Amino acid sequence: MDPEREDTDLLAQHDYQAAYIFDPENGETPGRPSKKRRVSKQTKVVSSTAEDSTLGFVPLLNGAERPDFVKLRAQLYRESWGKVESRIQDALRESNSVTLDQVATFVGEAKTSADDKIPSAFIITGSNLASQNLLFEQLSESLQAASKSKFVRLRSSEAVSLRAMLKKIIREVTDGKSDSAGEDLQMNSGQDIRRQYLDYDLEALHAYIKTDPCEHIFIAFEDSEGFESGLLCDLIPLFNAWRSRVPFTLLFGVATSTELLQARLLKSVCQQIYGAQFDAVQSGSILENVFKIAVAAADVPVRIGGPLLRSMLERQQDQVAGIQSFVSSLKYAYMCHFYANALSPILAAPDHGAPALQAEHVEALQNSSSFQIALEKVIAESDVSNVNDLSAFFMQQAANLATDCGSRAAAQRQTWVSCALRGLEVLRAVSTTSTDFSQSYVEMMTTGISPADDTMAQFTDRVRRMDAGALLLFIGRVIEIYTHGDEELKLGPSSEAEHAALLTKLTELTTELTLLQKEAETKGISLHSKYSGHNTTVRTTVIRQRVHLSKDTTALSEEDKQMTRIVDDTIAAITASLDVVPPNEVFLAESWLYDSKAPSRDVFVPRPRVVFERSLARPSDYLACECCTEGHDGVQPTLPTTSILYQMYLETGSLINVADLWTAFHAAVSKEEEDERKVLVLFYRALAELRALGFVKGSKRKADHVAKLKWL
Amino acid sequence: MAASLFQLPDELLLAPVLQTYPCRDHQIHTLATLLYPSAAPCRTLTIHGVESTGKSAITASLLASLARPTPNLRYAFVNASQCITARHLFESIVMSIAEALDWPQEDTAIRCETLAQLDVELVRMLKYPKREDNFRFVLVLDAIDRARDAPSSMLPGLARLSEIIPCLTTAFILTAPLPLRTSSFTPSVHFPPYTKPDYLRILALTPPTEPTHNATMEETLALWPRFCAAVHDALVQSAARSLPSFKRACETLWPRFIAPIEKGTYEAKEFSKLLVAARTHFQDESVLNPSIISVAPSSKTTSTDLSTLLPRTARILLLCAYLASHNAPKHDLTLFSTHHQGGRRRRRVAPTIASNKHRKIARKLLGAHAFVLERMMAIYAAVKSEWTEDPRVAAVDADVGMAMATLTSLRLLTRVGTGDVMDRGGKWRISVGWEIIRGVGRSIGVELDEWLIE
Repeated sequence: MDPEREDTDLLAQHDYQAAYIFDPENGETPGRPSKKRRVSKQTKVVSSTAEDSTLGFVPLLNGAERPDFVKLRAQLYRESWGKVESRIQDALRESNSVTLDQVATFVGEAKTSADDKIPSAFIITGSNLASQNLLFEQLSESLQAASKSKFVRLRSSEAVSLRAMLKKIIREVTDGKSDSAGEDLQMNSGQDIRRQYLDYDLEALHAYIKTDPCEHIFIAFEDSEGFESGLLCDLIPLFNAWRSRVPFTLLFGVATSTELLQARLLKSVCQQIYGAQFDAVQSGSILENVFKIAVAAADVPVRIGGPLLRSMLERQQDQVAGIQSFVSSLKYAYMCHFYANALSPILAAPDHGAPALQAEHVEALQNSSSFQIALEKVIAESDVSNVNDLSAFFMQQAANLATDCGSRAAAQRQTWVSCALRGLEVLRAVSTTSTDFSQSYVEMMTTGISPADDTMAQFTDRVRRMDAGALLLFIGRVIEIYTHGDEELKLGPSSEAEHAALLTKLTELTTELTLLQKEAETKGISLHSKYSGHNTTVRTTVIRQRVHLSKDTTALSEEDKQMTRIVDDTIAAITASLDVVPPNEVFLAESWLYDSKAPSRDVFVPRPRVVFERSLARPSDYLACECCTEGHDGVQPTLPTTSILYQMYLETGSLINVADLWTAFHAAVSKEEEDERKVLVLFYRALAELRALGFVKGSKRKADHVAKLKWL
Repeated sequence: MAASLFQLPDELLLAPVLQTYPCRDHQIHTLATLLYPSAAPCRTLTIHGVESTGKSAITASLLASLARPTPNLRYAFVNASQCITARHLFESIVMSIAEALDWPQEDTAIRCETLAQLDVELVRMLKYPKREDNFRFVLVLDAIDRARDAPSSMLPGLARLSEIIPCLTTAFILTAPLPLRTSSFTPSVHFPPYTKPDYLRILALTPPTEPTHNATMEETLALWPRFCAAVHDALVQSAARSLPSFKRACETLWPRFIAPIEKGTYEAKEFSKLLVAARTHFQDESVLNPSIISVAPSSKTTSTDLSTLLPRTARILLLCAYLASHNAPKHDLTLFSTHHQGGRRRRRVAPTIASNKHRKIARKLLGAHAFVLERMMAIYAAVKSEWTEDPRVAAVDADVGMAMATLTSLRLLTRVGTGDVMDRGGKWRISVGWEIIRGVGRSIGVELDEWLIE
């Protein structure tokens, strides 16, 4: 292996370390480090093939995992995430279609009705720039498909000057036909063979349009807030002046509001704009949609646990207004699941022709908590009174449970998902308040659904208060949930045996109720159950100048009694099927449930300040050296110098006298290091490091002082 | 017929121009005299006047109608404000002159980067070829005072072109008269703003085409000039001093003005009653300040103000920025410290009326002050737990950084001065006004009034 390869491997290792220890004094590595850039072609080829098969996945189970399984995990990750991602992309594209249609209609109409103004569409996209990208991509596709036109996308980051913008526009419109080598633009059209244009001259565009007529030339300012007002005020009148010759139409992506944009433009420019405002779908409503198809749907390969989902949703609401970050959190969860969980391929292993499980796998799954729950259940159910060797029996049961666990776990997962999602839908069918689907799903993922729940009490209460018509509708809906499932959640007809029983019961109840309703109609009475409160009256009596309130229950008619029975039966039947355990208690849920908040938080919400502070305060946790590990607090001379200085820094006020700091530092370090010059060097370096980490800054208020920085 | 030394252009040539552009007879005649080859053609000419007084349009149409029957008059019209650089302007001039002269395209210069090169090209095209005796070429440079990247020598240089090429007339169209020191005398034509009678005469040419409901065509036509006069007195005289804005105001107000007639409340003859009824419309200044949204959205609009678009952290940061911008740093301790009085803050010092002697302008009215980023973060940490239900101590993590980046990219917060964006001591300023901020505050249940000290 050549030394360069070794170096790159070393760097690659550092990438995955929890902490990197910088040790400049250890002068054994000579010269500067080799560049991270790939130097030879050979390494590139090797690494790319390696990445293809395993994506950099490493063997788990203390390295005992066989390469087959490593590869399988990588493959599973790619397959499952690919499926979910394409589904999400489809949904996102679908959600923009209304806006696209509106814009296309406006553009078509505005061409004639705009007079001497320039037609402009202002699309309110929301503050997330990442979601604008997809929208403008789609706009470009749909508008170019609708009419013969060109589409130029401009971003504020590339808009440096008027000339550069015009250059880009002309280049993009004339495509590969422009000669990008010189400053001049050679037109290849017949009559203008000798005519050369400056590359920012819109005349070139005009000549191009003459040879290749277009209906529209769309100029899209993707993030209009980012453009300088002066630049916009230059460009818009210019486009308007050329509009008789070149059919410009402007599109603006607006993140805030058109009023704020208008306030930034000159009045004379505003007068030249013929605009219309369009609202892109806000991320809140997309989120519910994506949540249903990518998180809650019946066939998603990995289920995200309740607490993690809750934190993801909260972050979505509090911090970011964009669906993209939710999608990337989801992707990260998938990555973590398949990267770090050795049990993840168990369910899919038989389908992918993987070999039998290793002994390490079996050991790992026997240690999982859901396995232990299942084992306890088995032991509790079996009769142990006449077993002689308890431990052998125990081992036997565990081995039984472990054999062929993959297919059984898959079956149990399917049952659980089917029950849970249907139960959720049933609960939502009676709910009057419009809680988000995501909220109730998260609740279900955390605690399951149990008859003792608050939600169940509410459910019973609501069903009891229904009148005959509403009850009939409700039962119809429940039957539909169990027989047809739900389109959005990819839920098919139920195949569970207990559900069939429930269905027959419910169908019976429906016929009974319909009959009863008809009967009541012919008799001309209205149906009430005893819960509806129609049969109780409050009576007031005055006895010895005291008011007594008493409730009287009138006797229920025969129909009302029947109605009451039907209501009770319905509730009993449905409640019996609504018992859903929390997902982590399902057999081998570890192989399809991912629920750890910490990795996701570390990646998406890093807190550099906290990390710096902790590592400076307790360097021994990271360095693991002998000199620092002694238990007592306070400044020790053996600590890294920056750490010593940080301890002193913590004791000072907001302005720090550097001379005092130096005296204290010298006193602390001189026990170890005699030479004052060397100590001074150490002091300077430590102070410079504190400054680089953002703890102090130079102060102009007082000479020879530095100021503490607190908030970043 | 012997050609006399001085011969004005035929009135018939001028008639269409005079008709299209009323109230500009004097200017049209002057221009015709100064441009027509047989009259008194001048070398350099400045045409100046404020915007939309008909300078460019009249010059262009006059030249077009003069040049049509006159073979020895050719002209080129170049709009300098549409040229991006000086080189672009020079090349446009060369191109349009070549086009006007039907100069062979192979012979036209491709590059023309400097004034000197322009000079050479023009001499080659205009001076050397043998032409008729009184041949004139008029080069009109429109909006030359708004040319981009123009070197300071450009305008004098262009003005002196005609000294080298005798048959060239250079006409500059400018907003303000420019003293061209190079030539001793430059004739200039001034286009003054239109007066009220002018305006009314022009608008009378474009009366409403359809009679109002409940009124005859004659009545409508009689009503129009009186209405225009009223609009002029209400809006144009004070604020909108240009023909297009006057026209637009009339067009916008006309349907509102005649609405009572259509409803049958008043008759077309009762002008003063109509005027009183439409009084509120005449005070509406949105007529003068047109919105960039011309088409009313067809579907019902979802509320797309800042408070729904921004995530919560970004909103809180924005409020903190507003507080940091509009409160003096000396009040920070009073407002945000929880140190004293067992956690109850001493908010809102009683307004001191005693300081009536030196009245100050309220800080709210003074606009946003710049603030140090650190101070805003400190305010954020102080108010976070009070404004949200989240009991955790506000830590500055990557999400807060992201919210800052969002606000910056939307230009709601702008950096003041130079330096690195990451600099913790950097100064920032909020660029959102009180009205919007109050809405944002209410969206998270905070009355920002309580946190401001005047």
